[in-house]
Amino acid sequence: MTTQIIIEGFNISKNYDSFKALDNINFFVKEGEIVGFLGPNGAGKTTLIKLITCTSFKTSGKLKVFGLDTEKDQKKIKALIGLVPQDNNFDPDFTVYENLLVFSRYFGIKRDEAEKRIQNLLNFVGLQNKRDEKVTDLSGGMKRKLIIARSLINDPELIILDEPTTGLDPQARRKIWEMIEDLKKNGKTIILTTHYMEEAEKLCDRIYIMDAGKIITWGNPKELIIKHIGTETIEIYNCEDVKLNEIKGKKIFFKDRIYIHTDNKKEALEMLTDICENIKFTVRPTNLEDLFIYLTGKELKE
Amino acid sequence: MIILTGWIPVWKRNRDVFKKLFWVNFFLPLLEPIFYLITFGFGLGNFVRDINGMPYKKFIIPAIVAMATLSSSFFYTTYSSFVKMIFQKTFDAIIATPVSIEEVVMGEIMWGATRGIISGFMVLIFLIFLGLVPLKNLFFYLLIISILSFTFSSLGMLFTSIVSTIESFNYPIFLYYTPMIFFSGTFFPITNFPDFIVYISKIIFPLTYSMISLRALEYNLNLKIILEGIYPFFHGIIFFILSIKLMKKKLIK
Ligand SMILES: Nc1ncnc2c1ncn2[C@@H]1O[C@H](COP(=O)(O)OP(=O)(O)O)[C@@H](O)[C@H]1O
Ligand SMILES: [Mg+2]
Repeated sequence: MTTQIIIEGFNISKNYDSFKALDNINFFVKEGEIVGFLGPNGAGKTTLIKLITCTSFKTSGKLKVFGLDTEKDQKKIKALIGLVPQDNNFDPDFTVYENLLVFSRYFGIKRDEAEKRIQNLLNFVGLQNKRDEKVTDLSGGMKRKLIIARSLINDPELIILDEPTTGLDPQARRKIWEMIEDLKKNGKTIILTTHYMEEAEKLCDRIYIMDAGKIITWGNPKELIIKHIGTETIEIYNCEDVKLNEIKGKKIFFKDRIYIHTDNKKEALEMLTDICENIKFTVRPTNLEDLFIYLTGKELKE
Repeated sequence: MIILTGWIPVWKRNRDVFKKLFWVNFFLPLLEPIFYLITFGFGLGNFVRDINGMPYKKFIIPAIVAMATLSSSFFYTTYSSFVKMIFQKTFDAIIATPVSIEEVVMGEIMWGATRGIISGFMVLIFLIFLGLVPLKNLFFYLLIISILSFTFSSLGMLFTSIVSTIESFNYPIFLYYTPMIFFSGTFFPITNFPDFIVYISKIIFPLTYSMISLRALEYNLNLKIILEGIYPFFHGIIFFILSIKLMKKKLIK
């Protein structure tokens, strides 16, 4: 059995007037994967999602979603996608239940069927007790869960989540991660954007690291770290009198710290303590944030 | 991309909100025509001579029906649609579903028109009840109400597609809508003005035709009246097409 390619993008560029929001991007998404687009604000993540969901159109390049053309087969493509937009765009005039019912009509779902689905979805996201509350009265985490429920009303093949957990507390964030993992278990294909490296690391099979409209690198999160910088990171706080040249590994000077990324932590540590006795440092596994700083010289979050 | 029925879920969404807020949205504004009637009909009407043989109380009836119809449709597709588009991002949510932007705009205009028809109809029933509109004119009045509702719902959407902030609605409202309310032969006959003014008024304010048509209806229904009554519908079609085009440009970047 071959896994199907669900989305293919070749040399996609998107200009807003003369500003290049996406600059010659290539990517693909396979059936059943969780693919992450990781990048700071303004990297072009939302723009890319708009192109996939046919709510904006590319300036050049080729983009196929479910093998269909995003400019010609908008209705067919949109019927197969569930979108969790970056901003919660509910109808504030409606209750939780009404929001879902009204949304089901946009997909042409019959009332009886919609009622059944709404009940199941409210159970899935844990909002069954909030059915008749006004959406404006929900907490931030509940709002996000409701938006996820709404994105599933058409039983989509592909679910796209634009910064699903931005601004949420850790507990709500974990709940949403669980939901995303459940959806994957049910065979859904998932795209998410984030500027949280833990999120990308934990959930994604593959990530595309983006900055300023470009894809800098892509692959499996762990493999990317191994390939580019090494699995262990030594973070040094007082660096004035440290002679680091002798130490093997990638050295990055960033703000008031020095980061040494290496696959051989033992050797690096021995040399470090030889060089300077009262050096202050911590040792930890390398993460995607380190990789991002290494590749761009910038932090993911401002 | 318009599929003939694609706008209906959008229309239904608006209907559902309307039902929830029936009292504030709808019943309270219906008091306004009563104030017009008291002020101009029963108040001022006692001091004003007949106009071309028509008692002033009767003269202003078409205007009262039109006021209710216009404000209900026009102010829906201006302020309400704008708030939904810019602040609530409702349109963004809908266009990520199989409903297209054209269908969203069409659903909005159709709902604005429906509101206008409901308001106009309620006022009409009230006026028939008071004996100020003969029952036999019910259907022609309804035709005019429907046309005005569609035309001004579309015009409102056209303005919404042009303005960039909610405050800038003041331009079309004070430079177009308000003058139209007063200078379309609503509360006084414009035929007393020089011909070129009448001519300009007829071109830029399609409401002028509706007023002429409904007043002539007091005497008898003929083809000229029907044509004059239908005339604003063509403005409506132009506003409708333009507003869909401009709205698409505004929302799909
Ligand atoms: N409608 C628009 N008009 C002009 N510029 C835009 C528009 N939408 C986004 N941009 C710009 O494109 C860049 C990428 O934006 P976006 O895709 O929202 O990034 P991200 O989602 O990664 O934060 C930003 O610099 C943003 O200001
Ligand atoms: Mg974004």
